[in-house]
Amino acid sequence: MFRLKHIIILVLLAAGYSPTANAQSTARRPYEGAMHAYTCNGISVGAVYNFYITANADGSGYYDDGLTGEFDIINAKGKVGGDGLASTQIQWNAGASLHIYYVWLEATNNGGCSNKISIQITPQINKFDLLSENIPVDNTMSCPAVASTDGFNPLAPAYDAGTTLLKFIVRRVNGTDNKLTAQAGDTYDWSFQPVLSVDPAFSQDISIVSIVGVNSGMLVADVNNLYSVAGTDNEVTVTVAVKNVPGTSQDVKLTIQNQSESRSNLLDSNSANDTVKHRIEVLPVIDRLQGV
Amino acid sequence: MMLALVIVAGTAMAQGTNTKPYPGGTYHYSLSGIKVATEGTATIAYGGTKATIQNVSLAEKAPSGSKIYVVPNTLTTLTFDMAYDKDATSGKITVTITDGAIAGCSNSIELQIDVQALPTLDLAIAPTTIIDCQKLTTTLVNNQAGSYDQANLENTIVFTVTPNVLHVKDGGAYTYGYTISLPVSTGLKDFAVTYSGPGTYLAGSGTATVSGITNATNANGVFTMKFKTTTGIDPVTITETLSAANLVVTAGNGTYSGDFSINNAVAKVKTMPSIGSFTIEP
Repeated sequence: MFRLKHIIILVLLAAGYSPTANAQSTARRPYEGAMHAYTCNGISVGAVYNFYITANADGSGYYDDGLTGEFDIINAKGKVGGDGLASTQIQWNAGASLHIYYVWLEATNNGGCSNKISIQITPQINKFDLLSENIPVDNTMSCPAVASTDGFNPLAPAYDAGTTLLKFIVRRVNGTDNKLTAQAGDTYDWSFQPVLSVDPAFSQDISIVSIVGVNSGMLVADVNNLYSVAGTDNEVTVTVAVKNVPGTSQDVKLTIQNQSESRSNLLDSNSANDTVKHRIEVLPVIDRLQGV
Repeated sequence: MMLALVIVAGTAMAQGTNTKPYPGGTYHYSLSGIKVATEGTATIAYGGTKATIQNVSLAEKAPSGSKIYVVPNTLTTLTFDMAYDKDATSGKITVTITDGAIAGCSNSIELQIDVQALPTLDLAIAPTTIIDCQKLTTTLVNNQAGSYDQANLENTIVFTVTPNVLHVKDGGAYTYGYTISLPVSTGLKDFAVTYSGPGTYLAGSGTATVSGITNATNANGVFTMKFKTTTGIDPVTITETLSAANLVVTAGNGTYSGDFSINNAVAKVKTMPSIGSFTIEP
């Protein structure tokens, strides 16, 4: 029993560790679609540098960036300033995960002598995903709200079927660790555009009440209706108000689109989980209540 | 008066070339078979220029140096040295023996001296192996600069000193040596100098001497500078300068200052850019 408990703990540890270690897009193991910065330090001031990519560790198999679609080197050339740094950004594109690449930096000084260094890059299939879910995930149906504070108000002077508030989660999976900050668990910010619909479309009175993240607080949409979430939040809660319609169920659908991660430019890898549905069950029809 | 005059080869100092001496050398001469009936005198004269008679074996009487006296009735040998200046000219050595009797008679003997051309030593130094840029490893390691693996990155610069000894007769024996300045602190990693070639190499601080190079071992002197690839420093100029060269010709023991057709050689080691490492996330 004692040994079995240890085995179980080890399995759990391994299961918990592996995705963290390998799932994220990193500069050395970038997702297809991700852009990463590559910086080299300790370079002689004034040297000119050039980043390029080869297929082999010995520098052979030069890839012409202009002809190779699997990556794009941004600002490959430059001159080393007083900080002794040379930096570039590389956009890893579709198909990159089929190869191993070697990113080279060659520095050349005024005398024409060069020094160089390389680093192995193993691109991966993009696993960055923004998805929407019910709370909890299997909570796909609920009754319309009938409380006076949230929904139908039987004491209203005029008939009012009320409004039901629904909550959904928009969740981020495999965000890119943000090495630019010392904050543990920080990742790049991410954004999405929520789109609501209701079926049947008797009433289009459906709206987003709020989108809130623990660290991000209340989010506000930009001019493109995009909500940007702080990287330290893995999920946000989307609260939706739906006008009750007596006598019919309503299928409320939240779809997220235009998902992306800042800095890395990663796009959503799985569109199959972008839409979540929740059914508001039939609200009984009541004509009127009177004395007879 | 009976005279028997013979000029014979001198001792080891003359080495058989006393009739063809090198300017700057000293040669020994001997005149044997001298015999006079009455104490007589000997005179030694040289018909060329810039030669000095030295170490006359027979006694001189006052006034000093004016006469060389020859004892009577004894078979006598006169020896002397001739020191030829570096600009001495050819001529004849004439030895005259005069009997001391009243109206004594004289006899004389001549020896033609053909002074040879002045021996010369000329040295030239030049870099024969130079480098353009310093070496980078061909077996690069992930995220290590090409200059990183110092063990395999030895760069070599070679300076060669070429001697040219002239006017020493074929087979003539000589020795020579010289001083060479060597860089002490270059900033280059593990900088070291080695010498291969003839003679005795003695390294000092900033200079080294090579001495005792003989005609038998005459060959180029090769100075090899090795250092490991060094990055991030200004270009390094390695200068080697020759000085104090001298040649000693065994025959006549003349010592001659060497000349330098090229006494200064310069090799520039280009600066190599430093590279640290990629600082991206693991």
